[in-house]
Amino acid sequence: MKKYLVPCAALLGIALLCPRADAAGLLLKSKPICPGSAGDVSVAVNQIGGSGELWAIDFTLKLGSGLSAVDAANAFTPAASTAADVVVTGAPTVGTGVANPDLYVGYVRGTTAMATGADATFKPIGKVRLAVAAGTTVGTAIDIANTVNYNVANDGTGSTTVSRAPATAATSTATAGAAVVAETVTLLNAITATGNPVPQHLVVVAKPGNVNLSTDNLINSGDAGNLAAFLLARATLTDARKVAADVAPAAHAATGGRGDGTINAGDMGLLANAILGKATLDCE
Amino acid sequence: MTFRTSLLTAGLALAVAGTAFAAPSVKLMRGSVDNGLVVWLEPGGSTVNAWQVEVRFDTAAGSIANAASSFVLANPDAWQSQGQNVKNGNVFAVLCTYKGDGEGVSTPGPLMYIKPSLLEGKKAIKLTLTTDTNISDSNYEVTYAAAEQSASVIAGKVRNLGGAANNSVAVGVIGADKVVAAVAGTKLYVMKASDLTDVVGFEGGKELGAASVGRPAFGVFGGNPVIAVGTDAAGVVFSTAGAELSKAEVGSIKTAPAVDAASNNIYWAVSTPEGAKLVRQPASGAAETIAIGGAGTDTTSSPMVVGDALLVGTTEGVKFFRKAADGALTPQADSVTGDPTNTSPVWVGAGNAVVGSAAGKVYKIVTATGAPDATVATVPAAAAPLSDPFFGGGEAVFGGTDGKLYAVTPGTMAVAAIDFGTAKVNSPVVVGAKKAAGDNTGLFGFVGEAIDLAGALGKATAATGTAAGDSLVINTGDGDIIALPQ
Repeated sequence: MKKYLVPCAALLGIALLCPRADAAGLLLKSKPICPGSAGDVSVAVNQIGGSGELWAIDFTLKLGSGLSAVDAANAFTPAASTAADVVVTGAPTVGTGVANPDLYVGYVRGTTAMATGADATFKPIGKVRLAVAAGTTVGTAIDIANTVNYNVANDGTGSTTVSRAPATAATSTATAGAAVVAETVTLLNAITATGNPVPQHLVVVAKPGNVNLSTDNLINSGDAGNLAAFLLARATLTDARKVAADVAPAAHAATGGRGDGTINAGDMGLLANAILGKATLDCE
Repeated sequence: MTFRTSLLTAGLALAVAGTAFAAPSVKLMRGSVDNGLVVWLEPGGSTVNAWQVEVRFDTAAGSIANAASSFVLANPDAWQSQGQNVKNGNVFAVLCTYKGDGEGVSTPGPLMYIKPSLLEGKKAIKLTLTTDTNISDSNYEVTYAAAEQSASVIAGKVRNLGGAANNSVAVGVIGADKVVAAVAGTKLYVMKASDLTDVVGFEGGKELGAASVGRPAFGVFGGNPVIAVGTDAAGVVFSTAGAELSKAEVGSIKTAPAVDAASNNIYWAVSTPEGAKLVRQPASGAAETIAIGGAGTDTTSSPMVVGDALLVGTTEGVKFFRKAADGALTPQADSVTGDPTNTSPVWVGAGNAVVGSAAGKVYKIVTATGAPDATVATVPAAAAPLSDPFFGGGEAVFGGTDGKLYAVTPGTMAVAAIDFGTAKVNSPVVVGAKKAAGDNTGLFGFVGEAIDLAGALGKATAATGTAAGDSLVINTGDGDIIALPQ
């Protein structure tokens, strides 16, 4: 892994020297994961700065509370990749210092941009596989957003140690041959601001659809009742319950993975069908 | 709110009122094909805001369409369907959530009616509530069904009278209508056999003042058609228009009375702390009470009047009387059979009646003398005690404790055993050339064609006649009256 570390860090280190006002949006999509199971946290981007071509990104995750990476060195899987791409994933070997991240992901594209578009439309770029330890209490909500800077040694700028933001991105410029532009990254808290938005960058220990977060993790009338009451504005849902309730669609094209980031009739319909045996909501 | 609902709600609400708190539950209640099987909610002190019902059904008897029309929400103002599904070939699941303005439903009542279709030639389909059935309260805490339970949807009519009604029905005619009389709780109901609606004058049932396990009897008394029924405290007589004509508070009456039109008397077999008694109630004048046993004895049968003879069974045997023109009784020597009587006597013609004993013997009583005939029929020990008999088709037919019917030919006293089920068979009926009965587990109908009503049945089966459109009638331990097309 270390052979990728230097070019990746060098690329991303440019971001520190050339800050831009515009920033890429990074979505670490919320995910319900059963105790003793693993699940993929979808990663998507929007609002790509520069020319609108995202070429590289790195970000970190905060784990703990029973949450860990599955095979940390290979925890990130790009949505699409070529042989020229560089993927660096790992636990805190990326730097030295007092604030090493729990999990680091660096992803550099070699031949084409991984995503384009300066608009608010999401583009999935990959997924991070995490696991919840058996015995972790159902209903536990783990915020995987790392908001603390960490130190990188030998980032290619000549400095021995550089303090790095938890996430950065590199986009292309509109001028041929010009260096890519380093962008700051905004970690997004929601996929949509309208409707009933689901809070993001949370891993909730539960089966998808276990809206009432029952300890038996069964999907039944309690979940339907809870979700129906919320949709009819007779009850509120905690952030964790919202994550468990966001089950539809089963595969969201824009952000990857289950759920569209808002709670609506689609979730009620899918949950009802799962209870009736017409659809499946299971641990991965 | 349906008739069934209105009746049951009051009783069940009272039951719930006395309970501090219990988990919510649902139960199945049998129904007709027309109205469907009832899924009934018992909130148990909780407020229910969602429920999922899963029912397994007998695919050899019928089907349930995977469509909203297969179930009808009993209260669509309160519940919103989230859909239904017939899955795995035979499980019917429905999911509903609360849609009213409040927090949910906290009163007992029907949730929905499931409406299966019967295959050709089938008269009933059994549905079983599975333990996947669950209910959510207002805190979204979920309770699963503790155990499976079954109920049937039948081709005929079903009416629930509320509470236990595990006595015997009787059939008769009022005007142009064939009618059914049954007691539930402390009320006498008289219903048209065609649709089980109340006969005019008996709307909502007639209060008897006490519970009853006795079978009502139709007859003519004082020149008027009447319905007489015994209770735990009295013998009560109603006109067929619903007027209470008399109430003789003579003690506990556990069997049907004999209504003797010829003498204008009703005879009641009465159980008292002092022993077995027979009460003669004339149409006019005071009732006469006749002791027919000492302390410790009890009546065991209905009185039977034929010609100038009256027979009634006690724990001592068959008591025999001569009856005068005015109905007055003169005791005769007992029809010494050697063991206690346990069935009512039945007239079998040719001057004879037959009666079953507790020991499994069937005696023929010669009504001219009151003496038993020397030829005695015997059923297997496992068949005793026998049910009350029905005479038809030239045979006296008894129900056996071993699940068989026993047909006794009076002339020879030969016994034929006929398979029915495996549980104790209650009093049978003969319709034309066919025999029908019910048993203690819910098996009901003609021999070889019986359906499973899933639950204890009343003490006797009745038939409204032998014509097309006539029904077999029985009642159940949970208060239903069943009229099954023949």
